[in-house]
Order: sequence, then structure tokens, then C-alpha cells
Amino acid sequence: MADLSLSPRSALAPFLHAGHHGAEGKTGVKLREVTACALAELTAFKGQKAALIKSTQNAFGVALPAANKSVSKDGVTFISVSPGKWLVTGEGAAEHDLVERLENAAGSLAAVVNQSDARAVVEISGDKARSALAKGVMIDLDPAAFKTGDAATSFAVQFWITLWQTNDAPTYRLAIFRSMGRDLLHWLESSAAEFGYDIHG
Amino acid sequence: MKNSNRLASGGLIDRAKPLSFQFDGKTYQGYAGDTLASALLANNVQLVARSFKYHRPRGVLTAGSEEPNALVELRTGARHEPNVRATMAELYEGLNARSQNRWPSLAFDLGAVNSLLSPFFAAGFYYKTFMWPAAFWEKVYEPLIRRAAGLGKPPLSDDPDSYEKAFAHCDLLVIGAGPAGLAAALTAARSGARVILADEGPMLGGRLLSDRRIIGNQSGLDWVKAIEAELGSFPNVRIMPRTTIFGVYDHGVYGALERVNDHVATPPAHEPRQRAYRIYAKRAVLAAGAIERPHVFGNNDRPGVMLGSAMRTYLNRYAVVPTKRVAIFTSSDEGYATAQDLINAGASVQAIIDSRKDATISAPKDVPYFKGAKILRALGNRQVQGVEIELADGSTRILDCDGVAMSNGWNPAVHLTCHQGGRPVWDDKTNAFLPGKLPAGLSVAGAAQGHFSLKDTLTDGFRLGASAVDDLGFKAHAIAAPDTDPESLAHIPLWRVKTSKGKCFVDFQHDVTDTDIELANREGFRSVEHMKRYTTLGMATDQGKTSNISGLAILGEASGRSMAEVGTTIFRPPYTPVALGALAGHHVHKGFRPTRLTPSHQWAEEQGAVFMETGLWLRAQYFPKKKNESWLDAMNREVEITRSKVGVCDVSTLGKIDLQGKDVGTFLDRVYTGTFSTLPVGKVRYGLMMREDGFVQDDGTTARLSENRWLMTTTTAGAGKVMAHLEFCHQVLWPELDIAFTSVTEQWAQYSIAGPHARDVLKKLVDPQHDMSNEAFTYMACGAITICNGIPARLFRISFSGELAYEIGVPNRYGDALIRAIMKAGEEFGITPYGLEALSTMRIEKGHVAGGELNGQTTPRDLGLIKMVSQKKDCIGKHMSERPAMLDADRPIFVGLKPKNPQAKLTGGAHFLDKGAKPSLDNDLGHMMSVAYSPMLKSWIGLGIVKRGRERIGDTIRAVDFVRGTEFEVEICDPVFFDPQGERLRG
Repeated sequence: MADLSLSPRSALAPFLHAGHHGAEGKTGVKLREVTACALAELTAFKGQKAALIKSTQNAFGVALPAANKSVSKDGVTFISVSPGKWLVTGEGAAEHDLVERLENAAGSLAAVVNQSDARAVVEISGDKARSALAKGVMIDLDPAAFKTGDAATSFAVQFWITLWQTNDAPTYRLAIFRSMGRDLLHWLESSAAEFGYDIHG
Repeated sequence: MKNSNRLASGGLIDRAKPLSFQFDGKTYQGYAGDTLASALLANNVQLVARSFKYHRPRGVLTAGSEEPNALVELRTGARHEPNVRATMAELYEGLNARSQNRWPSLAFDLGAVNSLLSPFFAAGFYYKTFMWPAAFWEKVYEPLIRRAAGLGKPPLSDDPDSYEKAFAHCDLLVIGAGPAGLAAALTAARSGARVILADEGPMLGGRLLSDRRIIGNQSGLDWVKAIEAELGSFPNVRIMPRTTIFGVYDHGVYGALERVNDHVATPPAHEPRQRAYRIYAKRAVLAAGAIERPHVFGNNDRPGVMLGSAMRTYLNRYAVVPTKRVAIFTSSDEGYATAQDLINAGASVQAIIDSRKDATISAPKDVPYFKGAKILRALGNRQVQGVEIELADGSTRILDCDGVAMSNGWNPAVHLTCHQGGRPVWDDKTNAFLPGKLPAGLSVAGAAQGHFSLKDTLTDGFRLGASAVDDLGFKAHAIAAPDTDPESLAHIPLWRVKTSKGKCFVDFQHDVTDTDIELANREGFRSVEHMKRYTTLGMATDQGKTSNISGLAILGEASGRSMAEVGTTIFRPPYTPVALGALAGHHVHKGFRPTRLTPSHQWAEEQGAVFMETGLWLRAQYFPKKKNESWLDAMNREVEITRSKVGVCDVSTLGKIDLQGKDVGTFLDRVYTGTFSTLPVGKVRYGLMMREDGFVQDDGTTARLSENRWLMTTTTAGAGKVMAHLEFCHQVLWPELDIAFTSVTEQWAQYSIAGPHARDVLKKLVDPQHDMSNEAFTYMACGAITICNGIPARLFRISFSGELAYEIGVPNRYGDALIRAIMKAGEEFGITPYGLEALSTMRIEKGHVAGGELNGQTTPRDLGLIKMVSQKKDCIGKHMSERPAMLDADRPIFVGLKPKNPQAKLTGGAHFLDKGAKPSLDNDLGHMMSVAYSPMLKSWIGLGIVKRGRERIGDTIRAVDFVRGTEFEVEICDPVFFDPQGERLRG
């Protein structure tokens, strides 16, 4: 049986080429695929939103965020994606037990669905990250309108994306249907090329 | 002759940066800061184009984006671009431009004989001349006209440059960076508001670049520099030169085109040529300025005839004296400013011909000056060689000159104010159309509002910039407009010189003359909209920026109506031409839409698979064993091996929806025709889903994973539609149901393993604690298992092929590894991968419906699936599917079709007719929906709908395909061709 072992592969692994690309001598944008990261969707059952917020507060130490916001604690990030629905990411220790912890916290209050393989997550940062994203993201990412902790589910270029800002560098993360990750990456690379960009493996 | 018309000093060109360029193969020199037009004029090149219909020689009329005449072809090869306005093309080293619409050469153009035929080319000639015989239109007239008339030729190869789309956001968008725009931007910027300042030119300043003015205690240019520097210091200001705001859309959305790299030969690596923006602006100030009006007199299109304001631009901005002996034709005091600038530049002003009898302004010393006079015609052909004028007393005389500068007042650039349906309103005081109802959030400053003096322009800009941002909660500090040098703007327009001799052009670009407009009026085309279409006035690339108003005035005069009564046509986007490439941005070639790859894609590629598109997905169509194996041979082999041994197919693309909650059973009962609430945990059931109108919209299987958790599958193409349908049902129809659903299509990589050895292959993968026996894991069972040492998986014993089959799903990250493992495990059993062709053939052999049958026009009854509609409950579409016409026994019904000759290649879409029946709608029995060659039956087979088909099993009818020209006799049969008892499924 040993010869039939299965090794995992990330969504973008076949398409990522680490190193410097685009304009020479400058790096306005850094790109990487976020791999060691569990994902789940949490959907409150009818009338259970308040109870769910309480219960996740107890289990994770943070309140589920309001619309268009995200909150993080201890490697777990909750991102509001639609009314009563959150995308949750788990990194570090939380990568391995995210779904289980969510199921325990949710009990019969919410549906938990593992999405770890359903999405590709791309991180984009750097001075010119905003300018590169503006070539497809329709929402206003200027700090006056979109700050660290803000999140949006939107249509960019030709993809549905969930996007949230993780720090003031600025750094953004984009979650997209796994099979569309390749085209998303292609768009990001074309958009970042004039600024020079690094891809981190 | 080098730069013979260039001044030794002055202008905003960089004499330290000479540039050489080519026009019609000849090399010239210009300077950085030139446009192609200014550089040509500097070299005394006056003839630059031939006109659209009559091939008349044309020169440069303007110095801006309104240019109707000086259109050239720019660049060569794949970068060749027609109809470039020489007045907007910035000069770069090696620029290569050619004149267009001429043969064999610009100077000697045979097409000019069209001028002799001009009676035939008058307004409406398309409609009148070429009416009969009809066949002549396509074969003779159209090619003839196409060759004779027209503008530049399009490039024939792919554009090597890239284009982008982008989005921008601001509190205030300022459109135009002349004095009004700069003032508005400065006020807003100081308040902290986010400002975008866009201008179509490469430099800020607008008319201040062209006229020598004083603002406060500094020159106009210094004032511009100071403001530009201050704006540049604000992080909240974005200055966008070379950017045209081309359209105003709903809710403060503005279309913009940034010409990122049109001013260089080729874009630097990684940069686009152009970028189309969608700008979201909370407020906007339109400061687009105004466009000077030409005069309509005989031969007013001769090279050398130019707008006065353009002449000042060439003199002051480009240090070029376009022509050296100029006659000024003016109906406004501005003509005198042109005269003074010409004199300052050392040119000779031959005369000022002022149409106003009682003009009060005095002419420069020693300049011949005629009040109440008109130009009747220009003399000369390829350049003006004099003018014939008519004096106030009616006498005429010839004046020597090589150029004419026309000043006839200004038309405010109101175009963008019309994009939301506003119509300009005639104003007798300014003699201009002023903005009417404005788009929400837009205000208009300066000349665009008919406030032509510099002082008024500045006042407007400061005021409107402040009020726009005050509106948004910023606190703007009022800035008082500085004093400016005196100017005189008195003006009485002269719409045309009625006593002219020769052709008087109103629309230079489309060769529309004053008599064309009179003709339109005579023939009853008196509405401006009709006149426009009949004469083509104001059409083409310049959209009549210089011509519309004169045209309207002449129509008014001819029909005895005032300007206000005539009104104006409306302006629509784009303000100036926008390349389709810029609108497409990244969406070219395969980037037109996403391409989704399956988990096994890379592996399949390694196997040499041939792929086909299904929706956005790329799926393996077949796996040729050797290079030249045909699709048919490959498919036959894949089917035969699968049915005799085992095959594997990637089915990950099927939609998968996770449903949870205590009301899922009820919900499914309502959206599916069958009953699901009774489905036991660990079982799968086939479901049919109807639309409200009773037609089938999708099918698939739904598994009950646990008491309150279910997994629905949809067709590949229907995944998104079904998800939206379920959301609608839940959110709108039954919000009281307690359910939650989430798409998990991409979470799972899923493979179908089918064939007599399916279980044998599976057993090698599944961890040993799971009992895979036929008794333990029965047909239509499902469950969570682990494979390959603990990888979580889901197993479904379902079959589309009719064979013993399992679908196995693993988290997508293992998808690539799993297909390789399945192939390895199956090796000893002779496993084959199979593609969509084999998949389709096997389902047709089994009479399963798919895309061809689920076409949105079939009910469950039509598909022979009426038994699947539960009579014990209601569901979406049930009542509508039971309308009498839907249940009419004559309505075609699903059957199989077998050709009498097994090798007769059936075709989808063929219609069925009885033997001997004439092909007519009345005799139509139905049509073929899916066909395949069945390797099991060694015959072509088909699925289709036939009128009373179930009662006619065994009858022979004809399958007639008029599109492909085939006709075969086919026998009506049961749709299940292979293994009708389904014994193989349960083995």
C-alpha cells in the first residue's frame, strides 16, 4: 500500500515561479500563496446568530465581526462574507484543528463546512499593492476607505473574491475558488509587472 | 527649410531635445514638446490629409482633440493606427506617420475627381443614388464607395501591446486642468478631500499654455507652475495627464482613458499602452473649456485656414508660425489678439476682416482693417494663396495671404453634461449652447459654462471646487480669484457667408457643406436629429466638435427658426475615440473569461489528453493512445475497456452543495420532483429539479451524509444556476426553513471508477477497516471513509455509465495524487482513463438524460421521467408542468433511435418525419437530441423526442437534417440500449 500514498499539492503550486519578475530594479509588490492555512465557512442557523457570537467568543476569545470586517486572534481570522456567514482561516496550530474547534463551538447553532481545499488564498503586499489591485478590484482600497481589518466580498476582473487587509504595509489577502486561482494569479502578475514584483514560494 | 516656420525662441518646446520623424516617407525634425501637427507646421508642411468624400486637400484646423482634418496613420506594422489626430499625437524620436485616404499620393490624389461628381455625393446620396438594382449594392456600389470614401485603414495583425483596465476613487474629480480646473482642484485639495485632476493633454494649464496672460502679479504659466507644484505636494491629489474623461455614467461613475504610452514609440517593458479607468467620484467639476467656431465660407477647408485660437497655440506654445501672411477673419474681439500675437512673432497680418459693422475694438497699427466685411472664398488649392473678400459696401477684392485665422466665438465643451440625458440650452447672451440638466454631482466651471473671461473662469473654479467638497463635509477655505490682465470678448457670430463662392464646409471631417443642410431642409429633414442622419453632420471620429453649431444655425436660417427652436442633437460617450483594446483590457484571447482546470489536468496533459471546454472548465475529451488515434477510435477503446475491465474519469466539475440544518429534507422535497425527506442516512438518490414554469432545469444526485447534513450534486454547467436558485428559494420563498448551504464544488476532487473491476481497484486504495463488499456497500450507498493510510474521503456508489461504479472524493489537494494512485492501482486490471466522449457514449447507451435533453424546453413527462414527479407532495414547477398542453399525448416524448443502417452517422438536431411526409411544421414529429456511436451495439444510436413515440416503438421514421444535408431511416426504440435490466450496476 505504501506506493499508493497521496501527497498534497497547493492550489497554485504548479503556477508559482519564485523570484523577481516584471520591471527590473524595483519591487513594488510581493506575492505569495498562503498554504499552511485551514479554511472553513461558518453559517448561523436560523435565529442563532446571537448565540453563535457568544459561543465563538467563549471558544476563540473574539466576537464574530460585523459586515465587511475581519478579526484575528491566535492564528484564527473570522471574515464576514454575507449576513450570518463568515469565512474562517486558521494558521499555525489552528491549521490542524480549525474545523473541529469550530464544530465544537458551533454545536447546533451553525453549519461548519471545511473549505481548506475549495479556495486558493493569495497574499499581496508592498508599496504598490494597492495600485496593482486597482487594476481589477472595484472597491476603494485607499486607507481613507479601507483599513487593516476591513474585508469585502466583491467581483474583481472576472472572479468572485473575498478580500481582507491584514496590516498597514499594506498587506491584503484574496480568497478565490481554487480552480480560478491560476487566472487570478495571472491577472495579479500582469498588474504588478510594471512595479516589479517578487513571488515568494 | 529646416523648421522654417519655427521661432528662434519661446514656446514650451525643448530645443535641447531635437527629434526626427517621418511623414509620408520624408524625414523632418521637431522638438520634444511638439505635437505631430506643430512639428509639421514648423516644417511648413501644410497639406496633411485628404477629405472623406471629395478627397479635398486638408491641413491643420485646430490644435486640440476637436481636430476634424489632420487625421493620419501612425506607426507601422502591427502597431499601425489609423485616424490619429496629428494635433494630439505627441512627437517622439522616430515617429512615423502617413497621410491616409489618398492614392497614389497626398499631393496628387486621383480620388479628388470625386469633387467633380459632388452633385452625386450630396446629402442623402447613399439613400438616393444606389437604390436599384438591389444586387448592385453589395457587388458594385458598396465596394466602390468604400474605396472612394473613408478614413484610415485598420491594422491587420494582432496588437502587440497590452492594455489595462483600472478603477479609481475620489471625492472630487476635476475634468480639465485649465485655469478653472486648477482652481477647483486647489481649493478641494487644501480641504483634505481626495482629488483626481485629469486632462487630455500632457501638460496642465489649458489655454494658459497657449495665450500669454497675467494672473495676479505673475504670468499665466508661472501661476500654473505654482499650482501644479502645490497640488503635487498633496498626498490626497492624483494628477492624471494624457487622460480623457470620455463618459459620465450613473451614480458618479466616469469613464477615463489614460494614454500611458502613446507618446513614445513603444511602451517600456511591462507597461500598457493605454489604461481605461472607471472613476468613482462623489463630486465632479467639469472644466473642459470651450472649442472655437470656424466660419463657413467658400473653400474654408483649404490648408492654411485655421482657428484663431489654434494659431495662437502654435505661436505661443510651440513657437511655430503656421503661416506667414495671415488674413484674420473675425466676428469677435479675439481676432485682434490673434493679430497681435502674429505681429509679435514677426508674421504679417495682411488684413483683419471683421464681420461686425460696428466693432469697437481698434486694430493693431498699420494692419488693413475691414469692418462689416466677409471672406467669400479662399484661393489656392493645396494651400491658401489669397482670399476674395466682400466689403461692407458690397464691393469685392482679392487679398494676398497664405493663411486665414478664424474667430467666430466659442462653443462651451458641454458634451459630458449630456451623457445622462441633459440637453444643452441656447443662450442668446453668450451666443452658445450652455449645459442643461446636469448629471448628479457634476457642476460646470469656466468656459464650459459659457464664462469665457479668465477672471470668471478662475472665480468659477475656486467657488465650485469649494462647494463640491463642502457638500461632502470638508471645510474648504474660500480663495479669491486674482486679478487678470484685461481682455475683450465682444462677439456677434456669423453663421455663414451667404454670398460665398465655392464649397462652404460646415463639417470638415464628413465633407458636409451648407448646401447639404439646405437640401436636407428642403427634403423635409428639418428635425436636427433627422438632418444629422441625412447629412451625416457631426458624425465620425470628431463627432462634430467644430461643426455642429454652424450646422444648426444654417438649418435654423433655412427653416426660419431660432437657435433655441432648432435645438441641438445630444452628445453621447465617448467624448473622443476610445480604442476597443483599452475597453477590453486583460480580457483578450484566453483571458476573455477564466479557464478552470480540473484536479487531474496536469496528469491528463502528461497522458496526451485532448481537452474540450465545458462551461469555464477544460475537461479531457479523450485520451489518444498514439498520436493519430481519432476521437472515435479512442472513445470506442475507452468504452470497451471500461465496460469489460475498468475505467476512470474526473467528475470533479459537477457542482457540489453542502446543505445542513433540520429542514433540509423539507427544502429538498420542495425543489426536487421526488421525495428526499425519507432518504436514509448513508444513501444517495437521483433528483430532478424544475423551474417555476415546469421545465426541467437540472438533475443530479443528493446524498444524506448524516441526519442533518446532505450533499447535492448538480450538472457541471448548472452549478452556479442551481446555487442561485436555491438561494432564491431559501431567501425569498421559504425564509422560515432552517437550512444553510455552502458550495463545496472545489473542496473535493472526485473520480468515477467504473467497470467490472471497479471494486478491485478501489479495494487497493481504501483503508482496510472499511468493508467494500457488495452487501456492505450497496448500490446507491454513500459514506465517509479513509484511503491511502488515513486520507479522508467520501465514497458514493453511483453510476452514470451503467457499470458497477463508485465516485470517490478527496480534498482537492490530493486530487493530482489520487488520479495517479488510481491508475497505478488499476494497472493490473487494465484500467483506462476515459474522457467526455466515452462518458457521453455510455450514458446514451444507457438512455440517461444530460445537457442535450435538459435544454430548458423539456418537462419530466417529455423526458419519460414523469414517475419521478411525486404525487404525494408539491414541488416547484409541478403545477405548471401539468398544464393540459404539457400533458397532451401529441407532445413529443423521449425515445431511443436506431438507424436502419448501423453506419449511418446520426446527427443531433435532425428532425423526424414519417416516411413520405413532406418536410413541414405540421408533419414534424420531433427532433434528435443526442447521438453517439455505440461500440457495444456496433451502431450509431440516438436519443430524441418523437410525437407519440412511446406508442410507436418499432416504427421506422426518417431523421432529416437540412443543415448537414443528411437523411436516414431510423427505428424508434426504448431509450435504454444497453443492459436494460441494469444488472451490471449491482454486480
